[in-house]
Amino acid sequence: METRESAQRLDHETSEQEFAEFVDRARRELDSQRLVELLPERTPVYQRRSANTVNRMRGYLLAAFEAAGLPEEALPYVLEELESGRNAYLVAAAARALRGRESRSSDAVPFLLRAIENIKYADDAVSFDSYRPSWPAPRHATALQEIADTFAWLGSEASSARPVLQSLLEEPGVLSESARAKLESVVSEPSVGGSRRAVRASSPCCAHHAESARPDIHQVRTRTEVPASVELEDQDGTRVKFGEFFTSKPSVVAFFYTRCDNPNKCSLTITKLGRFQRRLADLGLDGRIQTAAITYDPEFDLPARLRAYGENRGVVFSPSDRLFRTKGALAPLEGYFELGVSFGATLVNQHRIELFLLDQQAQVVSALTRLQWDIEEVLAQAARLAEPDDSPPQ
Amino acid sequence: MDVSEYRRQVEAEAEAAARREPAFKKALRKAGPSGRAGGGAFPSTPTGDDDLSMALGVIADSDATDDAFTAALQAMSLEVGDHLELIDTLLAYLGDAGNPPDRRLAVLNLLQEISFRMVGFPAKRPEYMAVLRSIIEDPDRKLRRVAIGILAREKDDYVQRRLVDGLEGKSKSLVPAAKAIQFLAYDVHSEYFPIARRIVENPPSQGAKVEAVRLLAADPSARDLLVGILRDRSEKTEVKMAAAVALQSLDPEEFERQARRIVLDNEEDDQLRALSLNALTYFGSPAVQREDEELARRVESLNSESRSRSVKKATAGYLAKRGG
Amino acid sequence: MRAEITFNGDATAASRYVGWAPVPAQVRLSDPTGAMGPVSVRLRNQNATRGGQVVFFSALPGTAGDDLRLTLPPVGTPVQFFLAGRFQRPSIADGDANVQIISTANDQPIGTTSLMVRIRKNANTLTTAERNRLLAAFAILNDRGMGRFADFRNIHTSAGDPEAHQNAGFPPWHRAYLLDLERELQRIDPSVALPYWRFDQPAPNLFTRDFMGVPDPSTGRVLFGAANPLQFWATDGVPGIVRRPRFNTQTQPATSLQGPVITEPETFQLGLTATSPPVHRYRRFRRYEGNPHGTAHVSFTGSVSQIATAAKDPLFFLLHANVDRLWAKWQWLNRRFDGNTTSSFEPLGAAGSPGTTRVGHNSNDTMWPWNQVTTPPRPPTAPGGTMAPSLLTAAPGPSPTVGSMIDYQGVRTAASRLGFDYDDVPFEFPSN
Repeated sequence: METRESAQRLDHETSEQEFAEFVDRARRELDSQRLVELLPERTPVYQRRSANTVNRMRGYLLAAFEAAGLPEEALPYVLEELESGRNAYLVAAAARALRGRESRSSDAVPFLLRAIENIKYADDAVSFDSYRPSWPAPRHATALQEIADTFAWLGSEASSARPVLQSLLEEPGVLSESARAKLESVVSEPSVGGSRRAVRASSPCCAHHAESARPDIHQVRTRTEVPASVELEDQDGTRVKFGEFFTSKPSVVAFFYTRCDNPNKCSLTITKLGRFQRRLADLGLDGRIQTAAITYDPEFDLPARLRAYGENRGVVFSPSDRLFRTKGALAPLEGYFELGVSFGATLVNQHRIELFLLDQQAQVVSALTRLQWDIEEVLAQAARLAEPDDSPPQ
Repeated sequence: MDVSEYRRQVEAEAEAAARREPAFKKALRKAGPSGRAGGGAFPSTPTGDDDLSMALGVIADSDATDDAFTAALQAMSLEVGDHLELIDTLLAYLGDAGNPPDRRLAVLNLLQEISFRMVGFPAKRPEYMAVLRSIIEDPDRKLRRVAIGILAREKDDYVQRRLVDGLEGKSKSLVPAAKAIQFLAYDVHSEYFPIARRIVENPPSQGAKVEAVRLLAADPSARDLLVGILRDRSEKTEVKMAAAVALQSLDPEEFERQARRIVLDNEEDDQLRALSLNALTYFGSPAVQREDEELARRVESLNSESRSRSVKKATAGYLAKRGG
Repeated sequence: MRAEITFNGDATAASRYVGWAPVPAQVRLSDPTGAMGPVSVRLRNQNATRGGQVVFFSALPGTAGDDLRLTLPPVGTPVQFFLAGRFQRPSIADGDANVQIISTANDQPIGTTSLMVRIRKNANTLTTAERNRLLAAFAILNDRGMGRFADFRNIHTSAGDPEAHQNAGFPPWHRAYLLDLERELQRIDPSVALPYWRFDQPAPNLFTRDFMGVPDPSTGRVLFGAANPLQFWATDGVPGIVRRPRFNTQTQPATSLQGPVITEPETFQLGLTATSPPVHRYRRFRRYEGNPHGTAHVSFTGSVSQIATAAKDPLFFLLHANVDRLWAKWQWLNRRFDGNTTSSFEPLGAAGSPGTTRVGHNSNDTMWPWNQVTTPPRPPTAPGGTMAPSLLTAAPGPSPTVGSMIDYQGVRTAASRLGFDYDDVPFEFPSN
């Protein structure tokens, strides 16, 4: 009996060529599940590589879903790149991947429009013809072209995008001729569409996605042992144990690092944390909910760096509102929070957006990961946590 | 000078400039059929603008003189905002290895200028990046170095790979090691730290070692390495200065301790001592500096006894800040 | 008997900074001992040959005078007047301009107030002390990569590019950017004004180890003297600056591979339309974004030659101070201070109305990042917060509009004054 090749055998010593061949095989064999195994950031194959290497690997992987089919469990990874990505290769790959979905759905439209905003001034020439194309490449696409192709593929499902696409067409000097031509056809004839794969119209299995604006990103975790003894140091150099800080009140905690170069991720996360603090204060909850952020890069993010980063993004500090680094390895927290991060030899090489709500026992009650979290939504959840607990004692 | 008189003076200068024909127009006219080496008519051009037509003709003419070529680029620089298609012309010229490298370099320089200011450049950026990648291995050193620099500052994956491959001996180096590591360091995520450490241990050149030491400022695990360099009496001053700057950025508290030691050390190099003192002057913890009488006495004695101008300046600055 | 002067509505030393534009001031008897009735006084520069010099106005608009006679009530009621720096006589040190209050009864001084005529100067002609104060302020703002300068670096990246370039708002946006930075430098040292690199002339004093540095011949790494605090400059977690000129910085103006930057008079001519007769219009003048602005940037290799990395290099701010000065001087030369006319700025109005362009580039639009708007099409974050305030003027406010950058001297509306001036761009009242 033929054993199905598993992604688990790939690790940090796997060469990129081997990785690419694995992806190529999975694509040829239309085995999308094999590709899905490679999506989580903590997959060993991404460890100890540069960020650009990981971007290339993930982009090549995402692009392969176009042919292999895009299962729904892979969709959040695709939407994440469209919503927050600023790397043209990854954004192009994500746009391609969408065309591997079983059904065309308008739920992806807001994400595609967001991707246009992210990439239109930083587009680039990309090629998925091989893992390591050489330049000059015989042909190449761009992220905007791939997004345009996906709009064309969506056909009538993209009709809600028409006004925005029309104004994009009117913006001078942003679109190449090929991207412009494709979008003009989308705007003028929304029923235009085509697919390399047989596409079913929206089927009962996928109808709920068509109705929702975005996938549910809240995950409730099972209770686990709190890493109470992990020592944290805050922006003032004050030390406190994880258990001590996070069991005093319910908390909202984000992860970030100061050397993150995607403004849609860490910079925006901490900026939103500052806004969240202000909303807590508006509602009189600032004494009852703690806010914190913990760096993925504890050795570099010294207290002075944490303070400057937070201050420059509107974060207000208090005994209940702090930015932390671990004094020691981050690993215990990586496990506890099931963080979506991987590291090169010394530095983060990829990570997702992640925000957690902890109850007064420091248990994770909600995890908002990968997609941009909404301040008001988190506020509502936090407010519920801050309510007195009237349930009978266990 | 009275403001009215000043106004008259400035207006006169402006009017004189208005009456003068820009040098590039003269050069373009001179490059006309009568003045151009080789003679002949210009190729037909798509636009009706005279300067632009002449400029396009010069660009396409392999016999055009250097002055004419430069003038053509100046004309294009003025008008490219209204003629986006000129960027395609420039990109094609740049990407054509058959064109003279110094002219391709000038065209690249113009494209860099255009990237700063022009509506329309975003639409051309993908082609620009593609052409740049195609010339990073150009035989002309200057051309490829500029292309590599542009791509490196955009944190381009393709150029990072080639630079790393060159440093690791997997392929021919495109630039010297010092420049390669410098280019990689535009992106701290390029994982240049292990390469930088190898260069420090086994430097292909002094310049490469200095760059590598400096750029390890972004690697927290290099702290001990940097301290070790500062303590190494046999190490060259240039390298120690780079280590001081790197440690100052990476771990200011540790650097303050090292800086103090360096100032107090009679055997230490004057340049390093001056740098350390300057760092303490500007960035030293005020509370710590206020209490440090031993350091203050040492600085005073250096101020009066040192023959080094750098040290004298540095000590004067330190004492002035301290109120001594 | 003693008298005192306050400036800009504030009695503290922090307010005693003026440029060429007149500012409101008040004089009053702080100690009326010996006053039998109203006291006649004369205001004048204490030393006409040393330090910054000021001129006086009894009302605006008015004629500037070397002195001013006023009558002070004995009860200490302040009397309003106006003063400004005398054109081409700026200070070189904080408080080196001294206004003396002389009692005309006995020609004796009854008060002296020190102030500074603080002006943005040609960087090539700064005194050693001026240069060192600037460098110290810059270095402290940078703080080895951990200071507030990081926000200025993060503002001017690819993400912020469409807010600052490629459209009508390029000059006003950069004027606001420089103003914000300068005010932050002045929080560290109020005597500092941002100098400009006059790139159409050689600037041998600027490109030395004691100032903006000289490049290592093989790597382009900028080298500084041991006393220069810029040697600790760091951005993006990495210390140092890479910059190599394509021209001889000691003898040539900024020169790229397609030739030198155009001269200042040639730059002014860019503003002329092709009509007959030609007129100066803003939309023509802003072609200077190419040459000389872009040309100056690419007259180097290294960080300053590319938008994504240009603000890593402190030279960027001196380069842009000159770009702003050229606009300011063109404005003065052609009297283009009326933000409601297209000759001074266009497009007018707010984004979305007829004839307007991308948001952030129309006269009524607020400017990112100071407006703190982070919804598309604006970038996702807005580093640095709102515009730094000033004790000298309420303008432009925390969230400046594009149009608020036009009348920067308060020529048409005194309240529009932004609190800076260039050494070679005087203040003149409107001619109508």
